[in-house]
Amino acid sequence: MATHIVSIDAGNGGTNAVRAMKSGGYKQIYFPSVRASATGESLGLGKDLELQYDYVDWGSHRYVIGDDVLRVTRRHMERHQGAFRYGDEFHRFLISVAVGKLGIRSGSVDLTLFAPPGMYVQARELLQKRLFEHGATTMIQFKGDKKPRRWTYENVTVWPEGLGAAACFALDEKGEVVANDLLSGETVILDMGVYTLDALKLTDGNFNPEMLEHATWENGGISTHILQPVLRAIKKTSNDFSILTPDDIDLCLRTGLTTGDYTLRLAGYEVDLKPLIDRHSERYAEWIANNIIDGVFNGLRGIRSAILIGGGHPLTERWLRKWYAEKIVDPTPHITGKKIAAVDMNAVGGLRLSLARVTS
Amino acid sequence: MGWQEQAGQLWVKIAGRKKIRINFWLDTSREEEASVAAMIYHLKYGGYGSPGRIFTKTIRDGIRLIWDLRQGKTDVLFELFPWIKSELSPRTLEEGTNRLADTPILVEKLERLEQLLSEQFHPSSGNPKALSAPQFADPIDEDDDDLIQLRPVVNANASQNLIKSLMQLQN
Repeated sequence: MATHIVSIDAGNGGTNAVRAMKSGGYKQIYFPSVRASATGESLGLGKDLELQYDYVDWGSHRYVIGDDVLRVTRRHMERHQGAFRYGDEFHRFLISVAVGKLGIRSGSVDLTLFAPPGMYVQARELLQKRLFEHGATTMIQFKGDKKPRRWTYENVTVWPEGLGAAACFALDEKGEVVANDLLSGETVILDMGVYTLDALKLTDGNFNPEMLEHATWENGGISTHILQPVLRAIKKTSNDFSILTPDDIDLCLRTGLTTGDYTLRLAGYEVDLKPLIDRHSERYAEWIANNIIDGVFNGLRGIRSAILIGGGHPLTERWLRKWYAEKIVDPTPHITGKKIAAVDMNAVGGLRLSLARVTS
Repeated sequence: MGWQEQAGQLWVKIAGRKKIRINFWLDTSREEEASVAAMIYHLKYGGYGSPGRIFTKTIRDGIRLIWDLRQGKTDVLFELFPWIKSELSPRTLEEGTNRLADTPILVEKLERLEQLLSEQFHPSSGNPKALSAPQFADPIDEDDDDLIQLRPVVNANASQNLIKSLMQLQN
């Protein structure tokens, strides 16, 4: 059995990762799936006079990651979104950073990953091939480490996004089956990510594997429908804003959802992005209603409940609940253990599936 | 001299003169607009009941008429078409001099219809007679709602089914 059990949803927008703790419960981290080249050089002036940031050494390069990219440097800013990234160098980088940030320095890792249902079969093959083609051992060094961290992937399991999240309410925090009626009858799970929107229909918890291929809408996520339109609008207001990227809007959005402050500040200007975000969130919800819910699922007729998960959940839930009322079910009362945010459900569900497997 | 473009189709030249000229486009690939173009031709040059040289007056009267009607008024309508006012006069209705009802052909058709309806319920001797069958009351639509009881279905195995389905994906 592996030393560590880890579940990582290294998505197009952000990387959510959880690790099972021996004392019970789990440790959780999140960082945006973005990196930039860094030197990490210091003038030795100390933390009061120098900007402090974390970096990692991966291969022969040094990188700043996540929100530090916007704070410290935008040089060679890098993302990799889309259908071709699974198991590539950037994806392996995100996975390794996540494992390291969860506090793992050595040993063996039972790793769970995710892929959109529409690309599941191909992505699973790519992931399992690429993670092992250079050997199962990974090395990475974080700022402050005296030597590189090294661990081995003992087992790699890949689940479809959305279905992994459903395991949150089908299993408890120990990986045991929970008898509840949340998945009774016909259920639609809508996973609104940054790049893709996945929509899956279950019947009494069963799903048709043949339908996985048709369950993913590329460019159906919040990047296309919210981040990019808001960015375009902001860029028009001032030349200073021309350097902004979707990551800036994403950071402002995440800060706003947490603190209520959606203010974007740059070059001596500040602008409250909430009105723009609200407008495009409603538009996104309309797009989902028109194309997915009404277009594919008959306006939820014949469906008992629809469950919303993913980063798009807090942005669209109030509109979809207004239009589809009692059909939109909040799964959180059915989830045992501590409260899980919609954006974290895939990772946590994957962890519970791992626990179910290793304890069976 | 100032130029002002509105909606890309209508532009007004304001030159400090008392007269202004207004142009507009017609897309003759569209049937409705092509027929308008034909009407304009006859209003300008005559034909099809138009004496000609009345295009501009028709435009002016038409805009006045539409504007007035959209405000719920009929003043311009009655000014341009006085006969409509007499058609709608209550006194005319009381005297029973409805122009349409005087039409002989229409009266004949109405009488024929009346006859047919009368024969349907009271056939003449030359037609089949209705049977003297007992009359049954129409069926009463009963309210069947009390026979329908909706019950929620709970499948306690749904969670187990999900886990099984997921595990099968790994095989």
